[in-house]
Amino acid sequence: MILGKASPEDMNLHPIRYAWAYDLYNQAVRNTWFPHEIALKEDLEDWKNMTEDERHAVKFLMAFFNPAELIVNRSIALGIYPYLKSPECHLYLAKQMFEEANHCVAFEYVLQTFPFDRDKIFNLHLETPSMGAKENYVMKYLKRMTEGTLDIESIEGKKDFIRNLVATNIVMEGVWFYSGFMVALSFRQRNQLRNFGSMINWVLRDESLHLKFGINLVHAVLEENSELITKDFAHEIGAIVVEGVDKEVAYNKDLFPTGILGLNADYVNQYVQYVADRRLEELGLPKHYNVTNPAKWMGAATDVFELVNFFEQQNTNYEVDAKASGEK
Amino acid sequence: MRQLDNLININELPIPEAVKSDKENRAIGLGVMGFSDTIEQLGIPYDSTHAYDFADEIFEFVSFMAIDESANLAKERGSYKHFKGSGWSKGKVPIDTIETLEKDRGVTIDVDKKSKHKGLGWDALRAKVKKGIRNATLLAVAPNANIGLIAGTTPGIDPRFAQVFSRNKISGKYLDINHNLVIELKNLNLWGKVKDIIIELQGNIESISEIPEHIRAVYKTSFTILPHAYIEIAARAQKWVDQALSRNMYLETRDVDEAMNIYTSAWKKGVKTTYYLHMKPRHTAEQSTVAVNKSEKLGKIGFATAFNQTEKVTPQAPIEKVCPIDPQERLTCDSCQ
Repeated sequence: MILGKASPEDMNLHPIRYAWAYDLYNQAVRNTWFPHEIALKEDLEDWKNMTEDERHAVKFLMAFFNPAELIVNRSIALGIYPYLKSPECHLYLAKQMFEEANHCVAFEYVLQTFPFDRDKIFNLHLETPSMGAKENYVMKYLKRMTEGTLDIESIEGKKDFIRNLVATNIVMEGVWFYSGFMVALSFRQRNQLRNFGSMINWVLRDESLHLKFGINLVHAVLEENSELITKDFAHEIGAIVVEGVDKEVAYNKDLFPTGILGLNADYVNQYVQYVADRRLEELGLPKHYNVTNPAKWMGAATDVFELVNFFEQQNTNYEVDAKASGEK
Repeated sequence: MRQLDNLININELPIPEAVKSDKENRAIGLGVMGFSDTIEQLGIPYDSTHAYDFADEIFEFVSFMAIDESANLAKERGSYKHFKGSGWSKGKVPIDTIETLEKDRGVTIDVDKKSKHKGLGWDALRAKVKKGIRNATLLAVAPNANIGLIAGTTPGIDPRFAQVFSRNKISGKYLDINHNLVIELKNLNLWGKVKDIIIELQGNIESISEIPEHIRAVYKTSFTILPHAYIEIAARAQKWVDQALSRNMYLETRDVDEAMNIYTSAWKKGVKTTYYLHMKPRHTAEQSTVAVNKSEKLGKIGFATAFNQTEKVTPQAPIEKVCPIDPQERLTCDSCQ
């Protein structure tokens, strides 16, 4: 059983029952990186030459990302971890929590490097209704995750677990974050803020594993608790995703009131909807928005192997602690 | 050769020691680029005997011609200052140094020492260089990471990194697509059908059954080419080259013993150097332009079990909502044309 309160036998890693979780743990360890490996100062040259609108986009991004990482960290500790019996899942979640902490420190580093007014940035969320709306959406689940206790043996408890997981992992990490990544990477696409782009590359690499874990977990829970699979619940989960996406769409309109070179709100929102459809399909739900990916340049950014000129750019493909023989 | 030798006279070097060395040795490094580009067009796989013999043949040819011309230049302009006492002055050419190396090591160099080019008069050349040569050292294979791109071909003796990949350089990050493959596939009316799959498979076409076997055999990626091929190509080239080669290496395996084996064979075959080692990344971020469905890969359908047949949503063709703003994108947007 994957869901439930962990008992003493669950402290034994072997035999491994959920190989996917253990594999994800090992890969996550290999992906370890540290923020100060990035020479962020070099990007200040670009910052000087950016327009007000472009700087606004980056500040807006930062206002969201920084607290978001800690939110996810807490939600895992209090709202996911306690309800899993599988030790290999605990291993992965421990690493994921470290990664969220690492991301928070990475964004701190960004805030310290660029000439940002911290207070102004953090107050943005109080002043901007669309940002507040996003927060309210996620706070609903967060409160339940961090302040309440689920009766994980009951059907309603299990449903709540899935609702919480979908809102934080699939929507927040799997859709909202990706929208932010796209904006950040679009600067690198125009050969600006390249080091910031490398950092985002690493964060994106982590997040894609978080998402993989989340999707796997949903499927494992549904498989073991098939009574959860009802049309009503399926529609409800679909609606949770769509609601989160619609909040993101409104937020993006404030992120780009007038658009910047190569990006505007409609463009980013189509991408958000495209990503949301993928998440829905991965959960076994029908597509909702039915749009194509407008950002084909993301192909170069994320889809293919990268050949880095060592003298000119940061290589973000290194692994650490790579065990040598045998293991693929 | 003439151009490179002229450059020595034009070069402005920063310190007197460099000026002295350059003037007195006239060292240059003529090499080769576009090896993969060429063998692709000839339909030869990188890891084949045909490719090894081909490398052998062209390097012998380039080597012979370069040495010959340097000897001609010596007649015209004089030998380099330290010619007397050099291997050249003893009538030696690069391939003769294999014997010296074997004596030195006490083992035979494990490379095919025979010539694959039947028409070159090496003995006459040996006699010629004994009388004089313009440049102390003349051959090398440079990485050509930049000039290879400017020339629109593959760098040095490197394989294709992948059939599609991105280059991350100071000027930005670009998608690099193998135009030879595109032409081959367009000729078969396949390009449109398979280009998305090629990206999804990260530039490796070996499992795309629509592409004929003979094309898949030629268009491999740097990680699917047998690692020993890199050593063999280098070894055959090294026979004829007096300096070193930039031999980039690519490994999929993480096995230390296997890697040791490959590098040891480089030594055994008389290769002087290898260059960067690229390890195949085990994990990259989730792909964004291909329809990656993790649950399909898991073989799980999740909530889909809840929907019975009558409720099954018929997939509609996706709506292309917004025309791209990005000028790069507009070039490929059909409705903008």
